[in-house]
Amino acid sequence: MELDELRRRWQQPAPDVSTSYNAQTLEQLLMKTKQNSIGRMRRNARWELGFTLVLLVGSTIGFFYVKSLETRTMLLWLILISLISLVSYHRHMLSGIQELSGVGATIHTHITQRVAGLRQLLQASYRSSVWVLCVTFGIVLSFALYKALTQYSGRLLLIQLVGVGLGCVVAVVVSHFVRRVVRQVLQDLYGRHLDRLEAALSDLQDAQ
Amino acid sequence: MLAAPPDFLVLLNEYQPLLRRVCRLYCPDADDRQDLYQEIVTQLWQAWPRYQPRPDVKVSTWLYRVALNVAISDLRQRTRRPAAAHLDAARLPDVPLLPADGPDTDDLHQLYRAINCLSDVDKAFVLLYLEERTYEEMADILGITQNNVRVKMHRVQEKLRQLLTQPA
Repeated sequence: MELDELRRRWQQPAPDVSTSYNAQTLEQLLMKTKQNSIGRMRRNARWELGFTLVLLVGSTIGFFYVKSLETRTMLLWLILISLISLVSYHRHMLSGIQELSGVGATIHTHITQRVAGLRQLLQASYRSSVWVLCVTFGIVLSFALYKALTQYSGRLLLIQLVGVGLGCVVAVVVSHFVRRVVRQVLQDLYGRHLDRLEAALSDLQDAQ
Repeated sequence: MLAAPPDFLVLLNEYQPLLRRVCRLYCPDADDRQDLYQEIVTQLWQAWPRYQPRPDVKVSTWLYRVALNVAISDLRQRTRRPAAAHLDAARLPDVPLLPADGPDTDDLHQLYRAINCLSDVDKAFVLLYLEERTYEEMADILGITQNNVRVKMHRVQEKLRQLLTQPA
């Protein structure tokens, strides 16, 4: 059969799937729609942002009430991390998600924005996960070292230093493992989708 | 209760068959098709307040854009649908044709099965061809030049013809 003939048949109306929508049936339809991936990303990002804000406020309040130098230093670290996370989230995650949201653009523009936004999100997620882990290990080990140097001497100091050294080795091994796991998880979650979008973009540009 | 603007309801009722055809083209599976349809309507609903009518652009152009963008790029839909087969290795999969979806003919069945072997972008070209859109409107929907639409459309039609001549 010729394509033109198929085209003619294609447009024949489908008899019984159409629904006549009113405000109520439209509402029912919209309520039934499961939250899409962008909605879930946005919701997760907001939760993380909220958590970081709570951490920032809590650390700041704590900083002014606590007397111990050790705890104050730890809280100062937390304030710094929270601030950097807030800026980073606002700059990378939320703007990346915003990039993914528009659907009214041309298909070429839409896919290009999707690819760029998704790539930005993946990089931000990967970097923030690795960064938080490294900073956490850094803080813990720094305090362990500080405590060892100020509270112990002689053989006990040596044992403490060996402990900190072992802690460093564990931190490096765990960081390496977590980096690989995070990379794999992100690849499983979004990598194939990104590959497909890039293939679609390349397919579209193929004619140009 | 949603305050559905009456113009959106008019639009949805008028263009519902178009949206259904997009879903039918991208999703052989009935559940996936319904999910995709709901997602498209939701995206249209959310985008409608930002839609600005222009005298030189039809509302259908905007509808095709939204529907195709959702169909091509939605993550949930994408993970469910299989990737398109390469033409050389393409064996037409057995796609169930629901009687409710349109004229129940072997030819259309064959057409759906052939379309299912195409990539998502090629499916968009086939859809716009079957919907008898002009090259100008296709270029406006796809975001490429009319010349490029012609070149690509020629290739896609050839691919589709080859697939249609393959035995089931």
